Amino acid sequence: MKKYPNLTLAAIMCFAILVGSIQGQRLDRLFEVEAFLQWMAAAAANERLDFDESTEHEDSALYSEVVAATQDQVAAEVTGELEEGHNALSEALEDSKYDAFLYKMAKSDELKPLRDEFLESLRSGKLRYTQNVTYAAVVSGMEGQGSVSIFNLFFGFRKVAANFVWLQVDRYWHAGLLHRMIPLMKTCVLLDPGFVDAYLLGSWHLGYNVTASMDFTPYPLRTWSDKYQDCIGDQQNYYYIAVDFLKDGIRNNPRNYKLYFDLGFSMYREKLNDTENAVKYLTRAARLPHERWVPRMLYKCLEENGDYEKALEGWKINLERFPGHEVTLRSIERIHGLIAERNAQQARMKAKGTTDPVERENLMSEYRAHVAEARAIWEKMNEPFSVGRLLRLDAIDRADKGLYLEAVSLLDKGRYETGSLFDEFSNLIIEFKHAGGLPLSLSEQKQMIREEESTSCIGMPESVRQERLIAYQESQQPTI
Amino acid sequence: MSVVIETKGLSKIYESSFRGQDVHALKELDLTVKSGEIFAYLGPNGSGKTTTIKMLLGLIFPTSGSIEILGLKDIASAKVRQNIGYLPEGAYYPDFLKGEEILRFYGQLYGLGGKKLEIRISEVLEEVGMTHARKRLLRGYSKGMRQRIGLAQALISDPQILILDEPTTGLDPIARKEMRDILARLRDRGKTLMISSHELLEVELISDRAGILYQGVLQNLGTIDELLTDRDLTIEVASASESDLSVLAEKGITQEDRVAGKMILRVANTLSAYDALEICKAQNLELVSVAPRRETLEELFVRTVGEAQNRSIA
Amino acid sequence: MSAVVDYFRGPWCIAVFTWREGIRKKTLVGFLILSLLVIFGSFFMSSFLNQTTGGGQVETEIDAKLIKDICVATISIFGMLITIFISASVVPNEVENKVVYTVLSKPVRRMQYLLGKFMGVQLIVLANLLLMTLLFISAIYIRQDEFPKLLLWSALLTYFEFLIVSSFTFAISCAASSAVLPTIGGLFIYLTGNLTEYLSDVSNRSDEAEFFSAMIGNVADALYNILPNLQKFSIKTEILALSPGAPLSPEKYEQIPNLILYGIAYAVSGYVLAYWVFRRKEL
Repeated sequence: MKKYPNLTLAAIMCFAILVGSIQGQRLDRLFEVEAFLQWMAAAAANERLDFDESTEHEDSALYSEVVAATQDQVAAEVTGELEEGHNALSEALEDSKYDAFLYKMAKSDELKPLRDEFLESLRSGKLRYTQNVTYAAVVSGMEGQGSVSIFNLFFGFRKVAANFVWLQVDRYWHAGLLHRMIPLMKTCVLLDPGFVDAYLLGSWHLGYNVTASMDFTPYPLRTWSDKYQDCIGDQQNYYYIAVDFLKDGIRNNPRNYKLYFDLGFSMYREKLNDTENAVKYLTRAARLPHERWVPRMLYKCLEENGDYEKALEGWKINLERFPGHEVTLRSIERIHGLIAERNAQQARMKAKGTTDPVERENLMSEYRAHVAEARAIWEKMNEPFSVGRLLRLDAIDRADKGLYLEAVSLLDKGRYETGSLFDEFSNLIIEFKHAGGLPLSLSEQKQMIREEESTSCIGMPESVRQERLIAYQESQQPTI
Repeated sequence: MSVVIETKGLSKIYESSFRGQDVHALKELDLTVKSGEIFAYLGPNGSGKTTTIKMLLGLIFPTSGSIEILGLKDIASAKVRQNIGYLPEGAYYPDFLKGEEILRFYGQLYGLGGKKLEIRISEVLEEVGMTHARKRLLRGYSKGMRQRIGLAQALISDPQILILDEPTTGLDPIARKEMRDILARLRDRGKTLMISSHELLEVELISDRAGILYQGVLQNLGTIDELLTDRDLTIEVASASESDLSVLAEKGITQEDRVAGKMILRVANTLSAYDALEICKAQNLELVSVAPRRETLEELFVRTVGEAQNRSIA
Repeated sequence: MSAVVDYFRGPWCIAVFTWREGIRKKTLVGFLILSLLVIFGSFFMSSFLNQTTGGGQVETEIDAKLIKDICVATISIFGMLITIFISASVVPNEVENKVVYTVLSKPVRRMQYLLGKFMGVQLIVLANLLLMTLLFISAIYIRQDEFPKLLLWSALLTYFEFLIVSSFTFAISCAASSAVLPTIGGLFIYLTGNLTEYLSDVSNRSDEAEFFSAMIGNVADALYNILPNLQKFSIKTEILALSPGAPLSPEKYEQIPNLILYGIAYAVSGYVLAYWVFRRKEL
């Protein structure tokens, strides 16, 4: 130091820069590992939820490689039951308790070849589920990102930029410029893939506000979509854009229950009347850290889907967590009633199908027992729903005695008093009118035509058409 | 008396990278300051005084030559620094601090602390006559007070040597006098003082020895009395005719300047003041004032250099 | 041990002195007030959204996100400006008003002096950052009624980003005679520090076959590896995206200390450069 001060200082400075440089490289590697993990999480969400979209991207193939390579490690670590067709890695990536293990695994030398392959694919633009990878160092040089990745813009303040883009989306919404909203919404989440509320509000705009002023598109005017396996009209077009938007959100934020909830409840149940999918996503939402209404909506959808036992089980768990919760208590009662009705119905249908008079009599007494049980429950409940159910039981009684006109009038009273039963009772009225040889009203005739029309739309493949036709014909069989 | 500051062949060249013309701020300076004296380091502005002082303090580095302070070559060593107090020219002291706070800060730099420091602060404030302003913010200080607080910070470690750069510049006459008194007191207490100034009169009253620096060369190094052997008188008169002037000139009184109708006459140093007044009276000249001629340092220097040259020719 | 204490006593006094002087600077107070205005202003940003119908829950969460993002950006920008101005000015100002002469003529080595000044700068920067973070936290607390712990991590990383810029600006200021040039230099360092990624892009795009292109590519690659890259600190905003109650993920736990070490390494090199410049500087 004393003798060669300049040399010493230069040496110290070079050393410090060297340490900094090495640290920089190390950080880059750490960012790459995190990016790898983020991509895995997105790909896993995709697999878990069967978002099987046919794309030219290599995500699925690469992810299967990762799954194969890590099978043993994951199997040793991850416990618990697996759903059929799903692998342990995908499940583990959803659960924060495996975070440490997964990070260690993603960082390990064993996965290095796959990591490198991931980075190469990423940079050559072959991967799709990489929107949530935001580290400039990782994505730099990526194809299709322009000369420098978008994350380098705004000096790292791209989240602020995303907010301002969102304000503009909001402004367009108020100005009614819907066609401008959608690209901006996508820009917004591209800037900030973690902007969960943008996905939620955006999908809500698309699914609810945009479609509110649109007319219902009759089936013959709808177009078949291979991607969604559905007939798409004006409204459906936007519903599915919203669904896709939410799915993107889920891939980027696989641990946010809100996205699953909105996809399941707001989109599939409310807009697409698809309780099966609603149950699927709500189940996912309920598995993540969530608000308390999430499982309740799940049980409701299970009930609507006819899965009374599971719904009952759920409500009972809910009762344990919230003792004396009014809605839970009533829901349990209601499901008991519905189960009794279903058992009665099954016995009745069996009795209809059998030729042996003794057995028939046994089944019918079983039927009556179940009906009595249901009646007792409904009478005890005394609320619009139970009153409606009672009217239905009365109507079936009358119909059994051949008093179809009375039965129809009872159901008619019931469907106006209990709105949630309107569709079910309307169908039953048509059935009774057929049975009793009564003439159908004009709206009932129209409804029948609509139902028949719903079996086909423009461009629907013949196989699907046949399936739907069969399903339609089945639905026209008498239920009572 | 022992030598406390000694420079040998001290040179400083400021390299000018643009015009290629180097500035020789100091040329081969040999300087000694002895213990217990007040050394006046004189020279017109830009003659290299501050350059020398900065080199003594290690603020800038000599191009060639050597410096020894208290017999040590390492002038940055703690022993040297402990024993040098420095008052720079026109330094600013943060005005949000109180008088005692600023002294506490400088005292702490010497490694002082606690009670010892507080006692020392009181002492130096007493010494510079600032006890009354101890708790006042520097913002409210006058220029003289600031200069005195500057002196106090130079004194805080009770150093042997004090280097003061233009200590009286910018002060009013009363403040100057007070400053001079303080410096004389310090000398009496055995401190060695090196005072740089461009005004001869400021230091002539208190200094023991002086060096005159001109264009980086030390021209005259001796006692003040030696330097100021000749001193002229100027007489101001209301008016004088050509004939009067020629008479006066014969007797050794020459016209020097004419200001606003008045005539300024210079009296040769062979003539006594009384004789000169007699001559003027004889010519019936209306006398306005009589004053000692304030010779500028530069003139003194030019004269001494001229004399030195003449001597060398002879 | 006592030798070490003795060595740092002087610098510490200078640091405290610098701090006391620095917090009175008008530019600094101005920036601070501006940043506080923006932080409070972010409260009202949400009024742009208030007209949106329905979804009350979502609205407040967008509000909170808006406040968070804007506040982090504000703290970054204004904190950086304050850092640059302070780092650029402490030494040149003191040379200008000659306080440095009185200090360096005391038993204080130049190394100690610089150390003191640098520590003083860091004290000021930290105090500012703390103040802004505190306000930010209270803003979030008022809005969301929860204590955002993750924000402290974010603030910590922001500090080390400042540290890098501060040390290099400080180095420039040691070479300069006024605060203007180092201020511009500091801004330049901040801008280029954020654009280092472009260098990697240059090297990615260089043509190996062609001599000049390859050479430029190699130079760019070398520079990319040597120069500090402030974009690495972008994880400070990533942290904020996590839900407030959530723990830090293991990958962040590994990145943060590494990032801090990264900041320190470059800060040391900047400080050594400053000393190198200042060691034989003619004052």
